[in-house]
Amino acid sequence: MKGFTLLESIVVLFLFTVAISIISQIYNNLMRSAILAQNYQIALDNFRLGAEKIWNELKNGSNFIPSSNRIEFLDRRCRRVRIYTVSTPNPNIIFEVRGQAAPLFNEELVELESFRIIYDNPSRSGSSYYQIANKVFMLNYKVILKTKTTKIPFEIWQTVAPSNSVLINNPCQ
Amino acid sequence: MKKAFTLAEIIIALAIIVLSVVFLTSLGMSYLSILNSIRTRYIGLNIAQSQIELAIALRNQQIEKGLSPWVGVSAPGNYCIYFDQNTSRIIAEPGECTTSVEGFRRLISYSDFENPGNSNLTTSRAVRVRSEVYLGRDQFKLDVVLTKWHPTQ
Repeated sequence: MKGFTLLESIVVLFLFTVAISIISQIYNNLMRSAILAQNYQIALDNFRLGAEKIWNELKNGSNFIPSSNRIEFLDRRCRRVRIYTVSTPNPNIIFEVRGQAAPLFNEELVELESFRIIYDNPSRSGSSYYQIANKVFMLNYKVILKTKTTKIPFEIWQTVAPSNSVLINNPCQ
Repeated sequence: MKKAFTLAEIIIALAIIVLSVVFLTSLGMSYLSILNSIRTRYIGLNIAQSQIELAIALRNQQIEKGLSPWVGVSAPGNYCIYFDQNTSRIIAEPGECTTSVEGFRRLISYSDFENPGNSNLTTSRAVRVRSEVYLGRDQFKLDVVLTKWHPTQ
């Protein structure tokens, strides 16, 4: 009966092992890329959600008291809002409405590196609200977007021109 | 005589194997390019929105000073609007913004919304502000119409 020689069997097994290892490597990379992309999207969405929340509140807010890394103002319902950073237990931005504080980002997805606020300097000459109100805020976020396999640094600037800043009367008087 | 493979058979077999590997690799790469695209779109739209906000803030800044809302941008055309951190004021300069990043361009253009031929925007009741951002092959455009509505204007 005719069969395979030992040499033939060894060559076939070797080629089979090489093929399997190449395919599994490609499959691993494929899955890793897919998971990385999905995790990145989730982390970026969490960051966007938080950043847009701040943007919306500032857009509709009034009576701002800004500093380089924190801001206090009245929201559209004239509730006192404070936005500031904390470093413990995890670096994050705290969004506080009427004393009720909540972290802005999910700490498993977004790690805050720095948060900076740049703002204009209104003339403050006059009694009308538009003469004393801030006209623009520029927010700089430096964060690390966390995925299961890697950490991706991300930096962005947001600019907000509050809608109420040209009103004659203070909207929360 | 023992039967062997022909050259055509070997070439076809190899081509199928190579194509499969290339297909799987490109699938992996496409995930990473999607990731990059998500990031670019977010950054591009954010810059375009920021320019619109600066244009609104510039108008509001002029109102604060009791000036026409279009002082500094009274001629239709392209401008670079930025926030000067030294003076804490918003500045508008004619022309496109200069950037050191290759493939990145940003500009903002002003025109009369009701009468596009108008060359003096201080007489306009409504001004169209267009924010344009170019990031490599991607481009982002946002429009807003700013009107004269403030009692002091």
